[in-house]
Amino acid sequence: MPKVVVEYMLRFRDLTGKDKDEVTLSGRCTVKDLINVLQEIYGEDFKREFYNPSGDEIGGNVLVIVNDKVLTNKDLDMKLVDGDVVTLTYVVFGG
Amino acid sequence: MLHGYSSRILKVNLTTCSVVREELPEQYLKDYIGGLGLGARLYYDLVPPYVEPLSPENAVLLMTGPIQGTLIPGSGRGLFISKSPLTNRFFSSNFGGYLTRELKRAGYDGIVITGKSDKPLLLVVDDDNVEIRDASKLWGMNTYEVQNEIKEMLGDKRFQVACIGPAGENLVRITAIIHDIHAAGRGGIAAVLGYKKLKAIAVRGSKEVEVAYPDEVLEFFKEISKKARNHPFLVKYGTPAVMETVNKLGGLGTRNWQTEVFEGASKISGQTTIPKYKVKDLACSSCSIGCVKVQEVREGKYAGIWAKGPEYETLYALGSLTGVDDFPSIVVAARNCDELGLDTISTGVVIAFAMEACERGILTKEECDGLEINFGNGNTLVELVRRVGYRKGWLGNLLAEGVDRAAKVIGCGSQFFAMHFKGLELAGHSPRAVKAWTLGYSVGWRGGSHHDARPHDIEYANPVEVRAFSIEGKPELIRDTTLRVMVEESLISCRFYGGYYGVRLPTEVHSKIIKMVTGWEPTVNELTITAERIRNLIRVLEVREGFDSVADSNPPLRVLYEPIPEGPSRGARTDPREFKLMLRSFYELMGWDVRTGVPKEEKLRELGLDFAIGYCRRV
Repeated sequence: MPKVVVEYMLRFRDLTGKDKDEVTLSGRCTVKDLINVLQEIYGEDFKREFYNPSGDEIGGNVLVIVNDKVLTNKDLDMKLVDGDVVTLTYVVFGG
Repeated sequence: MLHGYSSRILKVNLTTCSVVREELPEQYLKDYIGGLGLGARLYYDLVPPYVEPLSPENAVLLMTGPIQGTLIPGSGRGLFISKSPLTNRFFSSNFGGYLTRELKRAGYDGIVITGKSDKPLLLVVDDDNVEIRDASKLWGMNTYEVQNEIKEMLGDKRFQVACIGPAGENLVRITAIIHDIHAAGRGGIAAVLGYKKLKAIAVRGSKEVEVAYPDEVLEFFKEISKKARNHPFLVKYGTPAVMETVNKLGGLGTRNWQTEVFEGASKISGQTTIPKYKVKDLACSSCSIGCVKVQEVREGKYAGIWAKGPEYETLYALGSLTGVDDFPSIVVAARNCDELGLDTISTGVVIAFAMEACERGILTKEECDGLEINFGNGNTLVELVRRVGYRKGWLGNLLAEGVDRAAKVIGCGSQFFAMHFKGLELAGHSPRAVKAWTLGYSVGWRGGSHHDARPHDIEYANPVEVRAFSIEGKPELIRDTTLRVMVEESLISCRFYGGYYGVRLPTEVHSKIIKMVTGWEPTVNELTITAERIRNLIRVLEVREGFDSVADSNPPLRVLYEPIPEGPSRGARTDPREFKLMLRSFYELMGWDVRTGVPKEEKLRELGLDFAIGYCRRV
């Protein structure tokens, strides 16, 4: 059962009220599974924030980084392993 | 008749202290929209090639577009245009606030300033009353003092003021023009005003700006404002929140770009500092985002000192780039930049350059005028800002020239780490971690500005494939975003509304905005052609002074030859051969000669720029 660290930035931090979580995954251990676990903890708002309106792809402004890798939709089924750091943030660049 | 515009400009000659009001031909407004486009055309008509930036013949233009003074969200912006004393190129510097709204209310689309005075002057525009006053007693004041003094003197706080500080008076090349607490930061145009001895412009207007379809504009305002209030980070944190994410992606310029991961990023990020230091939010005209956060130091030797932001770009330049993670020192350095009238980006870059030169033993202790100059030293940061602003000491005077000139004087290989494109110090968007930026900066008309092309939103907001490290599709991306920027800069629409109006090419929303405001409805295709016309006219302004493919081919050597040493973007650099391929492909897409980068005759003819063909033939 892998234990992963989830870092929250910007509105994800506001939604969860935390900088980070440690989540132990059981059963399937993909990124999508992690999001399902977080949705159970933090509710529908979390899901709405993460996914696009149709609910099957990463939202347009959401940025998911696992360790050093920026994820795309096809990576949602990527398996997470013990010690992975998952960062949830947004596509942001200053003006 | 087109609505939205005043259809006239003020021409002010400081040598003769004369003022002329001139009507603008309607075709100019349709062909160039306003702002950057119209400003480029007026500049082309007025200023011949090879004019010295610091000369009476150079002009400074304060420009509005059709939307300023209306309810269009994001319209609280303006432009100063001139030939930059930093880059020697045609330049535009964008700023926020209320000044251009007021100028439209006074009945002008722009002010064109030429000539040179022997004594300090203040330009007061109060509807139809335009006065040029003596400003001797204002000379030497900092930008915040002088704005208060002028409003006091004129007896009305509604006057909106743009001014220069001591740095502009001292002809520092990395100066900013300050309006309220906003900065037209880049390119050193304040030094041109300093040379001309124009300390400030004060504007008050009383007329409503009429739009063609007021009901539609109101509905549009409501719709966009509702969306904007829900922005995932700008409303609550402003741009300071960006630090952590950019760092997480391994693209945060650190210690003069020796690396792109900053261990102190979270200490100075808005998510950490806003809850602790924010004292108020501010918004520009017709904006419901309110991205400006004012933060104040609460404890220690700098307690009580506040600064605008500091914005992301300032946190990058005065923070990670100098290795300083002491937030109060950054706030003080930022405040001093604003008061002296310095560009925080360029100032941070020249200081970081000096820090690296010192650490490498290239600058001696004597040349540092006794200062202990090293990365991470907040005291040195604060002191060097002051020395640059006043050109104090050998080093302060040298850094005031900008990083390109400073490196040429210092030599000893320091040009390798002089971080600029075309003489303009590099903004906080990595050209190594996001390769499209290397091309974007290189073919931008300004150089190291993060507003000439805007590839990054698209590079990462692509749920199908992240391609920041590859060169595939980048010339197309830079061409497209450049054309969109032409429309945004000519409407003068805030970048932060790009998500609602369009992030790649000109869109139907841009077209709709023009229709609602002016009554003229260009198709998206016509708008794209207009964008091409504007970029090509600006290209003519470049090539007529010899800036062609050679000038486009000089990214900082560190970007080309030194890979990012650590972090998520480890190993990334822009290979010179790849860069060449991108550049040629970009020229081809633009209809420019692939070898010289000069617009082809048929392209200029197609865009109605026949009058400019002669300059391109000569090249």
